[in-house]
Amino acid sequence: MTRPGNKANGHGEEIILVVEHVKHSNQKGSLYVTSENLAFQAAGKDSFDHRYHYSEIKLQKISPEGKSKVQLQIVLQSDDSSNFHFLNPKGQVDQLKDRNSVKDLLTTLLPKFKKKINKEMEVKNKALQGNLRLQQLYRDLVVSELVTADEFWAQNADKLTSQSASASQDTGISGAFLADVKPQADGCNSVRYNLTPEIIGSIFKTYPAVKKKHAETVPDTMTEQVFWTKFFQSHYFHKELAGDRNSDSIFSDCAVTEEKEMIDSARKGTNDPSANVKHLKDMVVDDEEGFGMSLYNADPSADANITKTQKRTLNMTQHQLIQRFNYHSSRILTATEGRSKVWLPNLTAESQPATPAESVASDVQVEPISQFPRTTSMDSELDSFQKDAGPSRLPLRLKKTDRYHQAPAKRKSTAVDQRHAKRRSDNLKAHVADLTTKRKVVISSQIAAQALHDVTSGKHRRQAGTDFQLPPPLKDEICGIYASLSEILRHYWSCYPPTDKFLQEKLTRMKKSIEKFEMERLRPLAMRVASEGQPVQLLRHIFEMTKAADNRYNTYMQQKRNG
Amino acid sequence: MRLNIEGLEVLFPYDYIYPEQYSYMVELKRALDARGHGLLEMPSGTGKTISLLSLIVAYLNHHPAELTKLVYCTRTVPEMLKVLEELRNLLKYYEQETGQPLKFTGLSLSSRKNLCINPDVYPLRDGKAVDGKCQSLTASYVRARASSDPSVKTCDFYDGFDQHGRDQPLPNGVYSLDDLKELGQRKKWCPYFLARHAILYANIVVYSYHYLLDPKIADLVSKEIQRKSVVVFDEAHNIDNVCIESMSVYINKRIIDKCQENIQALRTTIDGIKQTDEARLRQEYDRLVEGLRDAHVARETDLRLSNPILPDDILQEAVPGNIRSAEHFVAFMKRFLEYVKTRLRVQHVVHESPASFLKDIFEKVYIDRKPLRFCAERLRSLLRTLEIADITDFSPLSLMASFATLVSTYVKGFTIIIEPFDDKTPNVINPIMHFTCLDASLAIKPVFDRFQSVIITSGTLSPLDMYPKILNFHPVIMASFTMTLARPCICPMIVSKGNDQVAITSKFDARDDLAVIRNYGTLLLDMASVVPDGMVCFFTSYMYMESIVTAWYEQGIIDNLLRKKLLFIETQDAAETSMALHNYRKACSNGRGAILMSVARGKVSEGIDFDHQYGRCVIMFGIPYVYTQSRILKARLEYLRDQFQIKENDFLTFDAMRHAAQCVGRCIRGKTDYGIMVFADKRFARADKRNKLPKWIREHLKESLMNLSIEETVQISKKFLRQMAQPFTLEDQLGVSLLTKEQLENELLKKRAEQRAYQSF
Repeated sequence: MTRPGNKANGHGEEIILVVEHVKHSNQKGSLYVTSENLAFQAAGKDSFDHRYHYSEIKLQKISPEGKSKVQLQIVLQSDDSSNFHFLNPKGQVDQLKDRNSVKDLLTTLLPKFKKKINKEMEVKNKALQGNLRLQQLYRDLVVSELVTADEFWAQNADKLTSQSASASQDTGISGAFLADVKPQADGCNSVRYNLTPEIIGSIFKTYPAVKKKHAETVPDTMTEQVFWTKFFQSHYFHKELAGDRNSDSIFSDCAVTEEKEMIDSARKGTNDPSANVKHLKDMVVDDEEGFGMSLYNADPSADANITKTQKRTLNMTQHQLIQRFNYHSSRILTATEGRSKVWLPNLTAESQPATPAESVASDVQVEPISQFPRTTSMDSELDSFQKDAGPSRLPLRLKKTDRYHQAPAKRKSTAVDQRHAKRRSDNLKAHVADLTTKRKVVISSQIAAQALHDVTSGKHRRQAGTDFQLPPPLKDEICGIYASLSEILRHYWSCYPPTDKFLQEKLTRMKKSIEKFEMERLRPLAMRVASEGQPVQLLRHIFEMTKAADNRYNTYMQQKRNG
Repeated sequence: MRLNIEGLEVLFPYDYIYPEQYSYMVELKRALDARGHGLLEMPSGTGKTISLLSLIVAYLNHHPAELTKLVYCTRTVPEMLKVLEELRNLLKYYEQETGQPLKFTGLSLSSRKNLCINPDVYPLRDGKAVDGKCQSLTASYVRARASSDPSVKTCDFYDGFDQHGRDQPLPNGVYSLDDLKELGQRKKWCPYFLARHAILYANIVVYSYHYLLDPKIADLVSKEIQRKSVVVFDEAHNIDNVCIESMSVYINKRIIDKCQENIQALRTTIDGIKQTDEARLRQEYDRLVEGLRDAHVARETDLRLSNPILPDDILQEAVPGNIRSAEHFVAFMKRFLEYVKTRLRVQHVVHESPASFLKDIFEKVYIDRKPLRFCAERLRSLLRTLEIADITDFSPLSLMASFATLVSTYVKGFTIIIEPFDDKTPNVINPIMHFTCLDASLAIKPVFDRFQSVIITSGTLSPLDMYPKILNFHPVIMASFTMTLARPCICPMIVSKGNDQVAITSKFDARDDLAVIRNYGTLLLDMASVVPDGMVCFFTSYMYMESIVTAWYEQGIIDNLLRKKLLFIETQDAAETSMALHNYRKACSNGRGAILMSVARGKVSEGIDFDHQYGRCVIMFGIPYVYTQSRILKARLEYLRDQFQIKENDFLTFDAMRHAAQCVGRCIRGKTDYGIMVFADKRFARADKRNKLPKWIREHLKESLMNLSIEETVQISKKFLRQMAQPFTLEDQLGVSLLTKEQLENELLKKRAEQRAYQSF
């Protein structure tokens, strides 16, 4: 049984709780909860077989109530998990008790250690995990010590921030989060609700009142479970329930405040004049009772006072139901909106409340003319009348989509009119001739042709019918090598001109790195390519790049030596 | 561009024109030339407003002797603003093209609550309260008193206007409500009275229907508008109801109670005045004897509502002797009130004609018809004499007097129905007396008679021959235009059965069928998973919507809907609905997507546009028939049958279909827009219903789209949406649904466009 003790062991940590009769990785033994570790000692041994530092533990999970096995699972930072099975011979009740005592301790202990993890490391870790290419680069450059970790992160700082920014993006709230809690009736007159942390999060975000209540009451006056039971009995879940003010349900006052809020917001009305139904009709005698017709008129506001009282008594519940739907939806909307203000850019202007009229120089307070929509934006129907309506975008019009996805192939039949073709080619020739006379030579035509050939060579090979296709693993590897090499080269080239000492040092280091990279990665790859019977020219460009770097270095050294 | 419309040079402020706009202008010009009335149907989103404005402005400009004024009647405030913006744009274009501005003034008028800038008054917001407060600050006797007694408060803005505002007309230009307010602030003039004064000389007036159709207001505001004017009723598909409403009155228990208080208050006031200032009452009496009712200038500020009857029916003689003296009149009103009270004490429904009502009142309490006719007039005179501070306190009594005047003036075309309780709640005694106008042509007749040309136009006026009948006029031009489209951007469909082959209908005996409700739910759910952004669905009534929503909730359909989109529901409360609508639009714009559940004939269906992402799909659940058990409706149907030979069923279907068309038409507001229109009731497929849809919808409703199951509907929608989501540019439209000047001038093209766009009846 549990035996709280103060026995200090070799590590000098305090043992808070020991639970016996625990099975872990197919061994029976006892579970120690110490001040820093969760440890397991198999029966008959006197040292810990497993030891989990709290900082390694990401979260704990427990087996659901009513299951025959009473278990506790811890999930580590590495996403591995391990189970502890509680086997107290005295029966399930005691097993549960054992489990819960461990669970409660862990809930208090774990958060303390969580904070200790280096925040920055976590961010970097996340960034690496989220971006495969980055991970690959890191492995190639940092792990193989080509670049120091600091340099690597300095280079990729943008990725770090953007990564963390995108990671913090909140997911919206599903409109039907309450419906996802499917009540399941089991055989014996009880109903079970499945409540996940996501749903609880949604509930809290949507109904701040519930969150407040939760903070107030749990765990002082009631347990978590009782709280949620009450929640599911309340109007939040059963929207058709009338707000029963006399019941002792803790949510009854929420209902009252909510109703008040609904009425308030309605009375305040909206400052969106285009949605304002009340001021829509320009009725001159609209609020005059007695004129017009009362019943024939489907517009109920004509005799609102009568119908309202009647309606309230008649179908109170129906009306309330509808009110609650509206409230629910608007809450979800505001909850989503409050966190991430995502507006379509062209709609922002519209969404802004009508600007109050600038106060004219007078001591009288000027009426904010917000009753009416400012019709600065003209009717949409007329947009098409204006000649230049905004920046013009060119729509991509694809007649044959496969031509877009593949490289342009030679036309089989030249449908172009011979005469046109002739004229065009003449034009082109004239144009080219014009160009060559004007331009001074930047690169020799031979090199240019070679570059062109390189770019299009794949195509030609395919055309030649050799059915050129790289096996996917090789292709991936080549891509990876390319990425890594270009990263190193970027570092390398950024050192030029090596004006200060630091840069010079870095330059030499980089040079070495490139050499090392060439030796360790490129040569083996070249061997492999050759052994797999693929054209070695594939790697020609890679070697050219290293060669270029080499040449530059040599020239630099030469210059240095010369003076 | 400059257009030549049958010899009239029209400046059109855009570089392109829709073919139907051209045809529309041609027809409009013919109506103006003939000095007759017109009925023109053109789909929303094809630039009706600008076509109207450009042609009429050109006409006013070129033929100032034949036509002097344009009175443009709109239904809602946003529409009013839109018209003014277009006008401003047009006038700017004129200045650009011709080098000098047109000497035109255009302005809008709305009620005090929308125009008031007095910081003591406008925060009241409520229309009646603002009117009352305004009156208590500006009435002639208040200002007379203020001149001797500085402690009496008046409105600085009105005083400012009174001193200088009338001296010279407003500078030429366009004045929206906000412009008027701004001008008012600057010059310290009251914008409301400034506008009321200015509409007399302005070339273009934009205001609400009521200023022309409601005799109580038209008499005050629009009395002096010249005959050589063209009146345009835009969005006029509901004009008959506006006419009927403006002449109808109802009286319930509460009004009676308040009337009693009013009478008591009047008595004490009269007694009080008698002791202090009997001469005043005496003067009034003398004036009435001489029949100089109006000799006392009916100052614009003193009146809120004028005589409720049409100008032709007002008697031009002195007030009868028995109600001339103030006390006698109060006693008379008291007796009338008591009589109405006894009439309300009924156990069963009473249905009678005004004539028998008059006979009965004569027999029971010896009230003659003649003095009854003067009630409204007499009461106003009394209230003015007594110098009541806030005459809106007496509005119940004014209502009662209006009723007396109406019932004794009109014997034909009206009916009286007394119901002891509401049909829906037979146990709650809530007696109500309706005095209802049955004939829409009554209220609009003076307008047709008085003005040279009246143009009735809307996106949905089909079937066109109905309106001349129910409004009793003879248009010289009747035309319906379709929308020329470069791509089929509307997709109407009739869903007649669920996937289980159960017929979908909101027919009375099937509407509570669970299978139907479930199928409706499936339809909405399936469409919600296909349609992007916003979806709007319309139900036939609030009751039906509430019961369906409850049933859906119980069936778990709502939960599934919430997985796809957020859900907002229109309620009977205007503020709540505004909130829901605001959130709906927000959800549509930020990509979340939402469904708005609304009610045909409700506020949303009448005035809110769901263009572009705000409504990619509209679903009409059932045919929006009016509540057919209503006795008022029955009486009206009977009247229509007897007087105009319109079959009851025809009218009911016509009414239902125009509302359905209004609802589904909300989602298309332009040629670049696109939307799905789902009619979810198998009865829509019947020829008598279908043929009452506007032509521009009917055209796209192919035979193959008329009898679909839910699954087929979803498939078609998917295909349609994919097609529509492709980029759509100006070039795609050019030459087909959009013309440049050259293209228009190209005779061939014009002919072809005309053929396509225009179909005369």
